This record gives sequence, structure tokens and C-alpha cells, in this order.
Amino acid sequence: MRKVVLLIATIFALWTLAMAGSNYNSSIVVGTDQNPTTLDPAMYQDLASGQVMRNVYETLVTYNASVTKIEPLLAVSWEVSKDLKTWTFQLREGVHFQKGKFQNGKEMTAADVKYSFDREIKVSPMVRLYMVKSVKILGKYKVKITLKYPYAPLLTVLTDIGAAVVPQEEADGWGKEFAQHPCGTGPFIMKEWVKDDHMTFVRNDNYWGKKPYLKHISYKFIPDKSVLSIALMTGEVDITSDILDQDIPKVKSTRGVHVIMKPGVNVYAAYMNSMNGPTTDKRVREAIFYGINWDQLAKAIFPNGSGVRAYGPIPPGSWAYNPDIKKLALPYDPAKARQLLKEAGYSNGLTLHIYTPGDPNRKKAAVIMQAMLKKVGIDLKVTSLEWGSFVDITSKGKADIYTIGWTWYPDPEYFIFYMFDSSRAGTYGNGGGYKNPLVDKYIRLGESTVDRSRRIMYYDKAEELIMEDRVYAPLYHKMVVMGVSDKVHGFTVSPDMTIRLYAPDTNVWISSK
Amino acid sequence: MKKYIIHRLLQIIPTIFLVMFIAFMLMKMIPGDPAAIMLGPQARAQDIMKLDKELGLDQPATIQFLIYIKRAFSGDLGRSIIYGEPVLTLLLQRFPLTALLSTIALLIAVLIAVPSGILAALRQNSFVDYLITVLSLTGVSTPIFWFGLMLIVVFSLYLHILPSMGIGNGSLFDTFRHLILPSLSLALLSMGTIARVTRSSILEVLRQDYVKTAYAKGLKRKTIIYRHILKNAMVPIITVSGLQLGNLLAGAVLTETIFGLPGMGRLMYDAILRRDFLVVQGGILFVAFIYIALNFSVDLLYAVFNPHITSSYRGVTK
Repeated sequence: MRKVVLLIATIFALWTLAMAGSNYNSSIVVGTDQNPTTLDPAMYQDLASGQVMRNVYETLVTYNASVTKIEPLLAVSWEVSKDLKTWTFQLREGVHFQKGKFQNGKEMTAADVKYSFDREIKVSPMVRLYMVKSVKILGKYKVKITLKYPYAPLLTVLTDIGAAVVPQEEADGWGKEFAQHPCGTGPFIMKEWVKDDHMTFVRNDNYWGKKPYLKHISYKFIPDKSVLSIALMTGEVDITSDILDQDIPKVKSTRGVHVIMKPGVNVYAAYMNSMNGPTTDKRVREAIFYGINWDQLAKAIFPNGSGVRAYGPIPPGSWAYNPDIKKLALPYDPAKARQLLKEAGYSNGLTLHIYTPGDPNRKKAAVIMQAMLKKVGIDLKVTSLEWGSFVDITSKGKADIYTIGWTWYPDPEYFIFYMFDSSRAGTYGNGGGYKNPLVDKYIRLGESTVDRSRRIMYYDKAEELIMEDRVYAPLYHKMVVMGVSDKVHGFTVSPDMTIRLYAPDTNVWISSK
Repeated sequence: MKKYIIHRLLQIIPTIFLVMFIAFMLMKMIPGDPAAIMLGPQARAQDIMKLDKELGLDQPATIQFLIYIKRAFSGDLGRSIIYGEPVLTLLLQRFPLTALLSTIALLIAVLIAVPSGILAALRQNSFVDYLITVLSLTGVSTPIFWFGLMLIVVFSLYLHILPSMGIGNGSLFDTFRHLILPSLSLALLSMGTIARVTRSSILEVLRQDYVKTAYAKGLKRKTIIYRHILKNAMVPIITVSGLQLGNLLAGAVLTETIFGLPGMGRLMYDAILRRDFLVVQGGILFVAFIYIALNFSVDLLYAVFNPHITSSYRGVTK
């Protein structure tokens, strides 16, 4: 009798383990609204392509899934010279490429790193490694990267999948077709790509690192975000990116799925022109700051909390986020706004033009601003344009105000330098031509040290100066909102919106229940 | 007849040129530099200029157009700047799905709209007639994307009987299952129009003298409807249905985007937003070509069935 009980108990224990425990037979379906366009690391420009390429390709270093720490990947260690211009990397030994048409799973060495970086600089339209002067092979497993000038955030750039290590035989062998036949050192091998519909990967059983639980990954590309949420609720996909604010309650109330929200690495703002027009007068800009109830604006756009009011350009998902920047915000004070306008010589009212792209949130923000500013005597004309036209007009300084959206690496350099450095005037990031020599100075200081606490200090200083100039009215930070099936385990939402199924601290698996 | 065919073929050439010119000019006129959009907001000015040069966008527009025509006539529509693949390959990959979707939608539209139109006409001014008229007006005025979303909510989310998106695993049965909702939502676009044309066309035939004669002869009502009324009312119905195919190709842009189908409409939609100008130009040319080919075959069919059309050409040869 005891034997039977024991047997039943064992079977039951095994069964629960099989149902709920991690397993190596998992298969996952990821739904995304963005469609990848290429699988060639050097050629990619969009999040969607970068995300799927992480399965196949690897970089020297990588971010963990919460994007807070840079971890070794193909490099095991590195050294930086005092002047921040020479970086030496020790490579991992025994890493092999996946088998391809032109090589049979050869070992990855320093020669491949040099080839890949030289190739990126030569063929990439983005030239992510533009600060790199040369790459030198110091040994089979050792490379030296020499920079044109000191550049502290180099490691961050090297985490970008654009800096992945590719085998020369495949890249040269396929030529332009390499974009359809990816071959890297990563944990998964691409099996099929039906453009605009789906893409599938299978586990690479010769992978050097920890074995992934997932045996099979399938990405489904669904352009409409509401349909994407429905696909999650019907069980057609297991994870979806970017759920719309209005769909959150519906997903939350559905059994078997849940919503995860996390602060993102993004910022949205109303950026004012500092070269032309009435906004060159600081009193006009201040009037706009006083004339709008920013709290109410963020709440009206995101009634379900998928966005929060922003106080400065550095987002909460970044390690340099400074909560104290809140202190520099101006209160809602329409009377003060009217008075400032009067002082600036606009007692009879003022007409300004604001531009937004098709993004529904930014359109809403512009319309709310219009309604609020009307009360203080500013007639705000809203023009909403399709993306191409929007960038064309705003980057040339033709807009009084434009709603800018910015998302990138969590390093503050990518928020402060690209939107506020005077050298960036005339690009979409700094379309209004903002110039402040002191801000420039702090950016240079921030670029010239790898000491994180000192860098945080410099960028925070720059951020304070920017906020005091009142050219950049922060609107909101969007939360990263993902819908996840209860079957998915071990998944962490990344603030940069990339869905990471396998990373230094992440190994996702699916339970059968 | 031969002369008629040659004449019609010669008319096609300037049409194609015009289409190419308009497609090219449209892409030139919309603001936004393709290179700048492709590289994204973070790009540096020198990289944008470099890419412009690679794409040949630094040359004068006339030269660009001439090069485009020259290549197009040898079957080379260029390479997509986003996908890096030849435009023609992309179009040929996507076209079958769009063709299938539009054809199924047209079939559904005809199968529902023609009988309703006939019913409405035969029971003119009855409750059924009013109901069908109201329904077809509603159909014509309902936005496709809204109707598509409603279908998904009802059939996928609540009833769980049909998939909400994609084309499935590739098997024939699964493909059809995935195409039911998209073709239904697309069919709505044409249903109203076809039903209304059917109704008015039948009403017109009903008033003809030969119908009265047929009744006077004492023929059965069924015989009159099938042999005298329907046969004569069919010509405008077929014409309108054929023309709807063009509309359906356009409607496929929205349907494919909502249901996540990898067809030509979706390809064009993405290409326009990303300023993948060679794909947009190639796509417009491709659709125009199909449209022209369809029209040409319809014209030939008319000529076969209706000798009046070719008689003017015969007159010259005499």
C-alpha cells in the first residue's frame, strides 16, 4: 500500500514539475507591431530588426535585461587607456559561428571582430562606430580599438546589435543577400522569414553559453496595436509589445494574461524654437510653461497610467535619471502667463504654430495645449503631419514648437548630447537650434570620463541648465507596457522596449498550463 | 477586329508613361528626404548626404526619371532601399495573396449583393426593398478598418471561431480560414455599390416593352425573370463588378494592415511611410498595369459579344 502511495505521489510530483517547472521544449510566439526589414547587423535601423537579430548575433558586451548593467558576452574582459582612446578586449575562447553556406561553424577570433567593425564603418548607413579610428588584432583572442577622440560611452555603443560579430565568409559570400541569411554566434538559428507575416528561430544546440529553455521562437508581425492585444487575449501570441493605453483594462480583465508596466527610456516634449519667431523671447516661453497644467495633460492622455508626467529630458529608465529635476518645474499659473505675455508686448494675443507627427498621443497633447493656452491669450495652431514631412519641417527650424519623441540607449549622452548640443542644431533632435555654451561644456566633460558618478553629475548639471532656459517643455515619459501570457516564465520587461528572451540574466520558458 | 486590337494596344503605351510620370512626380513632391527618413532622427548630415549619393538622389529629377524609364523597360524596377531586394521580386511575392483576397471579396460581394439587388427591385417600395437600400447605404459608408476590427472582436475575441490575424501555417485550409474575416470586411466596400446598381438596372429592364410583351404572351413569371430580365440587366452589373476589382485592390491596403496580411497593400503602405520610393513607384506601375490589362480584356470581350463596337473599324477597311 505504501508503495502505491509513494508511486502515486512520485508521479504527481513529476507531473506538477512537468506542468510548471522549467523545460527545454518550450515554444513561444511573440507578437509585435513593428516589422523587421533586415537581418544584417550593419544595415539595420529599427528596433524591430535589432530585436530579432539578438537571437542570432552577439556583441562583445551586452546589457542585462533590465538595461542597468553592461555584461561581458563575446569579450570576457577589457581595459581602457587613461585618455579613453584605446580600448583592449580579451575575447572568449571556444565560441563558434553557426553553420552556413560558406563556412562550417568555424571558431570566432579577433580577425572576425576586426572584419565586422571595419565592415560596419564601411557599409552601414548609420555608421554607429563613427568614433572608431582603427581596430588592430593583438592575438587570436585579443583586439585593440583605437578611437578618434576620447569617448566614454563606447561600451554602450558596443552593446548595439549593429556592432555584432559576423563571419566574413558569409557576409562576403552572400553579398546583398546576407540580410536574408543571418549567421552569428547566438543562441538561436533563423529558420524561416515570411516578410510582413512571421519569422521563426530554433535553438542552436552548439551554443557556447547556457542552454536556452526555448526550443522554438516565432515572431508574428501585426501592424495594428489593438489587433495585437486581441491576439494576446485569444491566445494566438504569448507576449505583445506596446499595448495601447485604452486597451489596458481589457487585457487586465482577461483570464490567463497579464500586463507588465515599467518606466521606459523615452521622453516626449514640446520643443520651442530658439532661432526664429516669438519663442526666442524667454518671457513667451515662460508664459507657455505657466499657462499649461502639465499634470492634467499627462493624465488626460494616459487615463490608465501608461504614461507619466516628465520633468526633464533624462527618462526614469536611465541610470542617470535625477528625480530632483522636479524642483525646477513651474506651477500652473494662467495669471502669471498672461502678465508675462503682456510684458513681452503681446497683450492683444499671439499666434503660434505647433507641429506633431501622426502619433495619436502627441496629437492629443497638442490639442490639450491649444485649449489651455487659449485661456491665456495664445492662439496655438496645430498641424499634424505624416512622419517624413514632419521631420523635414521641424529639423529645419520652421516650427515655433514641435512635439519631439526620443528613445535610445539608457546612457544620458543619447538624450542630452543629441537633443541639446549646439552641434546638433538643424537635426530633428535639436530642430529649434538650441545653443548654450555651458551645456556644451558639461556634455564634453560627460563624454571624457568613464566614472559613472561623475558622468551623472555632469549630465544632471546640463539638464538643470536646459530646464532653466525653458525651451524644452517635457510632456511625458511613456511606460513600457507589455502583455504577457501566464504561461510565460522568467521574462523581464526591458525599459528600451526590446523583448529579450535570452540575456545574461534571462532565460524565458513556457509552461504547458 | 485585328485593327481594333492594335488600336487599343497603342492607346496603352501613353497611359503607362503617364502612370510612371505621375508616380515619379508624386514621390518627388511629397516632402521628406528618403535618405533622412531611412537613417532616422539620430543620423548625421554627412551620412544622409552619402546615402543620397548612393541612391542617385543627388542627380537632377529629369535624369533620375529617364534612368528609371530605361531600366523599367528592361524589367528592372530597382531595389528596395529598406529590404535591399529587387522591387519586382517583392511585388511578385506579395501579389498572389492580394489577388486571392480581392477575388474572394469580390465573389462574396457579388453572391450577396446581386440576389439582394434583384429582390429589392422585384419588390420595389416594399419593406424588403427599404431594408436592402438602407443596408447597402450603410455598407458603402462604413469605414473598412472599423468593420474589420468589429469582425475581429466578435469572431475571434468573443466567439473564438476564427483567427484574428496572419495567414496561418501555409496549408490551403488554414489560409482560407485566415482569409474569411479580411475578405468579409473588404467585400463590404463593394457590396452596397453592386446591390444598388443591380436594383436600378433591373428596375430599368422591368419598364421595357419586351417585358410587358412577355407578360402579355402569358409566359411564366420565373421564365420572364431569368430569360428576359436578368439576361438584359446583367451587362451593367458585370461592368460595375469588374470595376470594383480596382477599388478592392485599393481597399486591400487597409484590410491587409488591420489583419496583418503580407500582401501588396501592406507592402505599399510601409513603403509610402518609409519613403521607399522605388517600391512605391513600382507598386503603382504594377497595379496600373494589371488594371489596364483587365480593362483591355473586358474591352475585347465586349467586342466579341457586341459586334457594334468593332463595326466602325470594319467600316474603314471596306
